[in-house]
Amino acid sequence: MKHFLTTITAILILITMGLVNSSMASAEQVEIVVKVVHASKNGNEVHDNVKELYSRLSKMFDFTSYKMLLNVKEKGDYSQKQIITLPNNQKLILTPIEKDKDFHIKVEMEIEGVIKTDFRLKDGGTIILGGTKHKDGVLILVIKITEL
Amino acid sequence: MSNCSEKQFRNTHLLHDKELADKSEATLKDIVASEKDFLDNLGEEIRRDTREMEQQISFPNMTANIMNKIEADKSLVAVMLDYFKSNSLAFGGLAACLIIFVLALNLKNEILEQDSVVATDTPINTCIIDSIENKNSTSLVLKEEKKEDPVTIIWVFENTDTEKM
Repeated sequence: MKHFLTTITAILILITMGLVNSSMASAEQVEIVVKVVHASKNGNEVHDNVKELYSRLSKMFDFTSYKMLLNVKEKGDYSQKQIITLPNNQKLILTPIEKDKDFHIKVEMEIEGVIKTDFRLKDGGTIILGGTKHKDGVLILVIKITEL
Repeated sequence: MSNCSEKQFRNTHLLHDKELADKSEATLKDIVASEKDFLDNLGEEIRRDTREMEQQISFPNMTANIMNKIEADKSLVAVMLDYFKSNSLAFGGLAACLIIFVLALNLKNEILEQDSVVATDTPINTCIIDSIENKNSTSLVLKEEKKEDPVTIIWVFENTDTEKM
Protein backbone atom coordinates (compact mmCIF):
# COMPACT_ATOMS: atom_id res chain seq x y z
CA MET A 1 0.00 0.00 0.00
CA LYS A 2 2.82 2.36 0.93
CA HIS A 3 4.59 1.58 -2.34
CA PHE A 4 1.39 2.34 -4.30
CA LEU A 5 0.98 5.75 -2.65
CA THR A 6 4.63 6.63 -3.38
CA THR A 7 4.10 5.83 -7.05
CA ILE A 8 0.93 7.94 -7.28
CA THR A 9 2.69 10.88 -5.59
CA ALA A 10 5.60 10.68 -8.04
CA ILE A 11 3.22 10.67 -11.01
CA LEU A 12 1.35 13.72 -9.65
CA ILE A 13 4.63 15.59 -9.16
CA LEU A 14 5.65 14.84 -12.75
CA ILE A 15 2.28 16.00 -14.12
CA THR A 16 2.50 19.24 -12.09
CA MET A 17 6.05 19.89 -13.38
CA GLY A 18 4.85 19.34 -16.94
CA LEU A 19 1.99 21.82 -16.53
CA VAL A 20 4.29 24.43 -15.00
CA ASN A 21 6.81 23.94 -17.78
CA SER A 22 4.20 24.32 -20.54
CA SER A 23 2.79 27.47 -18.96
CA MET A 24 6.33 28.88 -18.73
CA ALA A 25 6.99 28.00 -22.36
CA SER A 26 3.99 29.94 -23.56
CA ALA A 27 5.44 33.00 -21.84
CA GLU A 28 8.80 32.74 -23.66
CA GLN A 29 10.02 35.69 -25.62
CA VAL A 30 11.74 35.64 -28.95
CA GLU A 31 14.76 37.69 -29.92
CA ILE A 32 15.13 38.70 -33.55
CA VAL A 33 18.44 40.07 -34.82
CA VAL A 34 18.53 41.52 -38.33
CA LYS A 35 21.79 42.61 -39.95
CA VAL A 36 21.34 44.52 -43.18
CA VAL A 37 24.32 44.37 -45.51
CA HIS A 38 24.69 46.31 -48.74
CA ALA A 39 26.55 44.18 -51.27
CA SER A 40 27.79 45.46 -54.59
CA LYS A 41 30.40 44.87 -57.26
CA ASN A 42 31.53 48.46 -56.97
CA GLY A 43 34.80 48.66 -54.98
CA ASN A 44 36.50 46.22 -52.62
CA GLU A 45 35.49 47.63 -49.27
CA VAL A 46 34.50 45.16 -46.55
CA HIS A 47 33.41 46.71 -43.26
CA ASP A 48 35.01 45.35 -40.09
CA ASN A 49 31.62 44.46 -38.60
CA VAL A 50 30.81 42.41 -41.70
CA LYS A 51 34.04 40.41 -41.80
CA GLU A 52 32.47 37.76 -39.59
CA LEU A 53 29.83 37.27 -42.26
CA TYR A 54 32.12 37.96 -45.20
CA SER A 55 34.00 34.67 -44.91
CA ARG A 56 30.70 32.87 -45.38
CA LEU A 57 28.98 35.24 -47.80
CA SER A 58 31.96 35.54 -50.14
CA LYS A 59 31.71 31.82 -50.91
CA MET A 60 28.10 32.25 -51.99
CA PHE A 61 28.03 35.66 -53.66
CA ASP A 62 30.39 37.24 -56.14
CA PHE A 63 30.07 40.74 -54.77
CA THR A 64 33.28 42.57 -53.95
CA SER A 65 32.00 45.18 -51.50
CA TYR A 66 30.13 44.47 -48.25
CA LYS A 67 28.94 47.29 -46.00
CA MET A 68 26.84 46.90 -42.85
CA LEU A 69 24.01 49.44 -43.03
CA LEU A 70 21.86 48.31 -40.12
CA ASN A 71 22.06 46.02 -37.09
CA VAL A 72 18.73 45.71 -35.29
CA LYS A 73 17.84 43.59 -32.25
CA GLU A 74 14.17 43.24 -31.30
CA LYS A 75 12.46 41.23 -28.54
CA GLY A 76 8.82 40.24 -28.43
CA ASP A 77 6.31 37.53 -27.68
CA TYR A 78 5.16 34.86 -30.05
CA SER A 79 2.58 36.22 -32.53
CA GLN A 80 3.90 39.74 -32.01
CA LYS A 81 4.90 41.47 -35.26
CA GLN A 82 8.33 43.03 -35.49
CA ILE A 83 8.57 45.75 -38.16
CA ILE A 84 11.98 46.86 -39.35
CA THR A 85 12.41 49.65 -41.87
CA LEU A 86 15.09 48.81 -44.38
CA PRO A 87 17.53 51.34 -45.95
CA ASN A 88 15.55 51.22 -49.22
CA ASN A 89 12.45 52.21 -47.20
CA GLN A 90 10.82 48.82 -47.59
CA LYS A 91 9.42 47.32 -44.40
CA LEU A 92 10.44 43.88 -43.21
CA ILE A 93 7.75 42.29 -41.04
CA LEU A 94 8.74 39.26 -38.97
CA THR A 95 6.25 37.38 -36.79
CA PRO A 96 7.36 34.38 -34.74
CA ILE A 97 4.33 32.08 -34.57
CA GLU A 98 5.23 29.14 -32.38
CA LYS A 99 7.87 26.68 -31.36
CA ASP A 100 7.02 23.17 -32.45
CA LYS A 101 7.80 19.82 -30.83
CA ASP A 102 11.05 19.60 -32.83
CA PHE A 103 12.22 22.87 -31.22
CA HIS A 104 11.91 24.76 -34.50
CA ILE A 105 10.44 28.25 -34.50
CA LYS A 106 7.84 28.97 -37.17
CA VAL A 107 8.14 32.53 -38.49
CA GLU A 108 6.09 34.56 -40.94
CA MET A 109 8.09 37.00 -43.04
CA GLU A 110 6.93 39.74 -45.38
CA ILE A 111 8.37 42.61 -47.35
CA GLU A 112 5.36 44.27 -48.86
CA GLY A 113 5.19 43.82 -52.62
CA VAL A 114 8.29 41.67 -52.66
CA ILE A 115 7.84 38.52 -50.61
CA LYS A 116 5.41 36.90 -48.21
CA THR A 117 6.21 33.50 -46.84
CA ASP A 118 6.77 31.52 -43.67
CA PHE A 119 9.56 29.20 -42.61
CA ARG A 120 10.62 27.00 -39.75
CA LEU A 121 14.01 27.74 -38.25
CA LYS A 122 16.05 25.91 -35.65
CA ASP A 123 16.11 27.82 -32.35
CA GLY A 124 19.11 30.15 -32.65
CA GLY A 125 19.34 29.54 -36.38
CA THR A 126 20.00 32.01 -39.16
CA ILE A 127 18.32 32.62 -42.50
CA ILE A 128 19.50 34.97 -45.23
CA LEU A 129 17.14 37.01 -47.38
CA GLY A 130 18.77 38.80 -50.27
CA GLY A 131 18.25 40.20 -53.70
CA THR A 132 16.23 43.37 -53.17
CA LYS A 133 17.85 46.23 -55.05
CA HIS A 134 19.49 49.10 -53.30
CA LYS A 135 21.59 51.77 -55.04
CA ASP A 136 24.25 50.02 -57.17
CA GLY A 137 23.85 46.65 -55.45
CA VAL A 138 21.51 44.55 -53.36
CA LEU A 139 20.52 44.23 -49.74
CA ILE A 140 21.36 41.04 -47.90
CA LEU A 141 19.45 40.54 -44.65
CA VAL A 142 20.92 38.13 -42.13
CA ILE A 143 18.12 37.16 -39.77
CA LYS A 144 18.77 35.26 -36.53
CA ILE A 145 15.90 34.10 -34.32
CA THR A 146 16.33 32.81 -30.78
CA GLU A 147 13.88 31.92 -28.05
CA LEU A 148 14.89 33.61 -24.78
CA MET B 1 155.45 -42.84 -71.89
CA SER B 2 154.67 -39.79 -73.46
CA ASN B 3 152.47 -41.60 -76.02
CA CYS B 4 150.91 -43.62 -73.31
CA SER B 5 150.49 -40.61 -71.16
CA GLU B 6 148.97 -38.67 -73.99
CA LYS B 7 146.61 -41.49 -74.77
CA GLN B 8 145.81 -41.84 -71.14
CA PHE B 9 145.29 -38.14 -70.92
CA ARG B 10 142.92 -38.18 -73.88
CA ASN B 11 141.00 -41.11 -72.40
CA THR B 12 140.74 -39.32 -69.16
CA HIS B 13 139.44 -36.22 -70.88
CA LEU B 14 137.01 -38.16 -72.96
CA LEU B 15 135.76 -39.92 -69.86
CA HIS B 16 135.43 -36.66 -68.12
CA ASP B 17 133.55 -35.14 -71.06
CA LYS B 18 131.23 -38.13 -71.19
CA GLU B 19 130.52 -37.86 -67.51
CA LEU B 20 129.80 -34.23 -67.95
CA ALA B 21 127.56 -34.95 -70.88
CA ASP B 22 125.71 -37.66 -68.95
CA LYS B 23 125.25 -35.36 -66.04
CA SER B 24 123.98 -32.60 -68.29
CA GLU B 25 121.59 -34.95 -70.00
CA ALA B 26 120.26 -36.14 -66.65
CA THR B 27 119.87 -32.62 -65.45
CA LEU B 28 118.07 -31.59 -68.62
CA LYS B 29 115.78 -34.61 -68.34
CA ASP B 30 115.00 -33.65 -64.74
CA ILE B 31 114.29 -30.09 -65.75
CA VAL B 32 112.05 -31.19 -68.63
CA ALA B 33 110.20 -33.65 -66.41
CA SER B 34 109.76 -31.02 -63.77
CA GLU B 35 108.48 -28.48 -66.32
CA LYS B 36 106.17 -31.09 -67.82
CA ASP B 37 104.69 -31.80 -64.37
CA PHE B 38 104.26 -28.09 -63.78
CA LEU B 39 102.57 -27.57 -67.13
CA ASP B 40 100.36 -30.61 -66.59
CA ASN B 41 99.28 -29.29 -63.18
CA LEU B 42 98.73 -25.82 -64.59
CA GLY B 43 96.61 -27.20 -67.40
CA GLU B 44 94.54 -29.25 -65.00
CA GLU B 45 94.07 -26.23 -62.76
CA ILE B 46 92.93 -24.06 -65.67
CA ARG B 47 90.45 -26.69 -66.82
CA ARG B 48 89.08 -27.04 -63.29
CA ASP B 49 88.68 -23.28 -62.91
CA THR B 50 86.97 -23.05 -66.26
CA ARG B 51 84.46 -25.77 -65.29
CA GLU B 52 83.72 -24.01 -62.00
CA MET B 53 83.20 -20.68 -63.75
CA GLU B 54 80.88 -22.28 -66.26
CA GLN B 55 78.83 -23.85 -63.48
CA GLN B 56 78.62 -20.60 -61.51
CA ILE B 57 77.71 -18.31 -64.39
CA SER B 58 75.72 -20.75 -66.47
CA PHE B 59 74.93 -18.21 -69.15
CA PRO B 60 73.91 -20.85 -71.60
CA ASN B 61 71.21 -22.07 -69.22
CA MET B 62 69.84 -18.58 -68.59
CA THR B 63 69.67 -17.82 -72.26
CA ALA B 64 67.87 -21.06 -72.84
CA ASN B 65 65.30 -20.25 -70.13
CA ILE B 66 64.61 -16.80 -71.55
CA MET B 67 64.23 -18.18 -75.00
CA ASN B 68 61.80 -20.78 -73.68
CA LYS B 69 59.68 -18.06 -72.00
CA ILE B 70 59.62 -15.95 -75.13
CA GLU B 71 58.52 -18.96 -77.10
CA ALA B 72 55.79 -19.67 -74.53
CA ASP B 73 54.57 -16.06 -74.67
CA LYS B 74 54.56 -16.12 -78.42
CA SER B 75 52.45 -19.25 -78.25
CA LEU B 76 50.02 -17.57 -75.81
CA VAL B 77 49.67 -14.49 -78.00
CA ALA B 78 49.10 -16.71 -80.99
CA VAL B 79 46.42 -18.64 -79.12
CA MET B 80 44.72 -15.38 -78.05
CA LEU B 81 44.84 -13.99 -81.57
CA ASP B 82 43.34 -17.20 -82.89
CA TYR B 83 40.60 -16.96 -80.26
CA PHE B 84 39.77 -13.35 -81.10
CA LYS B 85 39.78 -14.14 -84.80
CA SER B 86 37.50 -17.10 -84.41
CA ASN B 87 35.28 -15.34 -81.82
CA SER B 88 35.25 -11.81 -83.20
CA LEU B 89 31.49 -11.56 -82.71
CA ALA B 90 31.71 -12.57 -79.06
CA PHE B 91 34.63 -10.24 -78.53
CA GLY B 92 32.78 -7.35 -80.18
CA GLY B 93 29.75 -8.06 -78.01
CA LEU B 94 31.86 -8.02 -74.90
CA ALA B 95 33.46 -4.71 -75.88
CA ALA B 96 30.04 -3.22 -76.61
CA CYS B 97 28.77 -4.34 -73.19
CA LEU B 98 31.77 -2.71 -71.53
CA ILE B 99 31.19 0.57 -73.38
CA ILE B 100 27.49 0.56 -72.45
CA PHE B 101 28.40 -0.13 -68.81
CA VAL B 102 30.82 2.81 -68.71
CA LEU B 103 28.28 5.11 -70.40
CA ALA B 104 25.62 4.02 -67.93
CA LEU B 105 27.93 4.83 -65.01
CA ASN B 106 28.61 8.30 -66.41
CA LEU B 107 24.91 8.88 -66.96
CA LYS B 108 24.15 7.81 -63.41
CA ASN B 109 26.74 10.25 -62.07
CA GLU B 110 25.27 13.04 -64.15
CA ILE B 111 21.81 12.28 -62.84
CA LEU B 112 23.10 12.33 -59.25
CA GLU B 113 24.92 15.60 -59.83
CA GLN B 114 21.74 17.20 -61.14
CA ASP B 115 20.42 17.25 -57.58
CA SER B 116 22.89 20.00 -56.82
CA VAL B 117 22.63 21.92 -60.07
CA VAL B 118 22.83 25.65 -59.48
CA ALA B 119 21.21 28.12 -61.85
CA THR B 120 23.73 30.49 -63.39
CA ASP B 121 22.12 33.62 -61.99
CA THR B 122 21.85 32.44 -58.39
CA PRO B 123 24.43 32.48 -55.62
CA ILE B 124 27.26 30.02 -56.11
CA ASN B 125 27.84 26.95 -53.94
CA THR B 126 24.13 26.65 -53.23
CA CYS B 127 21.36 24.36 -54.36
CA ILE B 128 17.74 25.28 -55.01
CA ILE B 129 15.37 23.61 -52.60
CA ASP B 130 12.19 25.58 -53.27
CA SER B 131 10.77 28.65 -54.95
CA ILE B 132 8.29 31.29 -53.79
CA GLU B 133 6.03 33.08 -56.26
CA ASN B 134 4.87 36.58 -55.38
CA LYS B 135 2.95 39.31 -57.13
CA ASN B 136 5.99 41.32 -58.18
CA SER B 137 8.83 38.89 -57.68
CA THR B 138 10.02 35.33 -57.68
CA SER B 139 12.20 34.02 -54.88
CA LEU B 140 14.39 30.97 -54.80
CA VAL B 141 15.05 29.12 -51.58
CA LEU B 142 18.66 28.01 -51.58
CA LYS B 143 20.84 25.99 -49.29
CA GLU B 144 24.60 25.98 -48.98
CA GLU B 145 26.24 22.96 -50.47
CA LYS B 146 28.66 20.65 -48.66
CA LYS B 147 28.12 22.25 -45.27
CA GLU B 148 27.36 20.49 -42.02
CA ASP B 149 25.28 23.45 -40.87
CA PRO B 150 23.98 24.94 -44.10
CA VAL B 151 22.35 28.36 -44.01
CA THR B 152 19.10 28.72 -45.93
CA ILE B 153 19.03 31.68 -48.31
CA ILE B 154 15.94 33.21 -49.88
CA TRP B 155 16.99 35.14 -52.95
CA VAL B 156 14.49 37.60 -54.39
CA PHE B 157 14.30 38.29 -58.11
CA GLU B 158 12.17 41.34 -58.65
CA ASN B 159 10.24 41.20 -61.90
CA THR B 160 11.91 44.35 -63.17
CA ASP B 161 15.31 42.97 -62.34
CA THR B 162 16.86 41.46 -65.43
CA GLU B 163 20.37 42.14 -64.24
CA LYS B 164 22.40 39.05 -63.48
CA MET B 165 24.24 38.80 -60.22
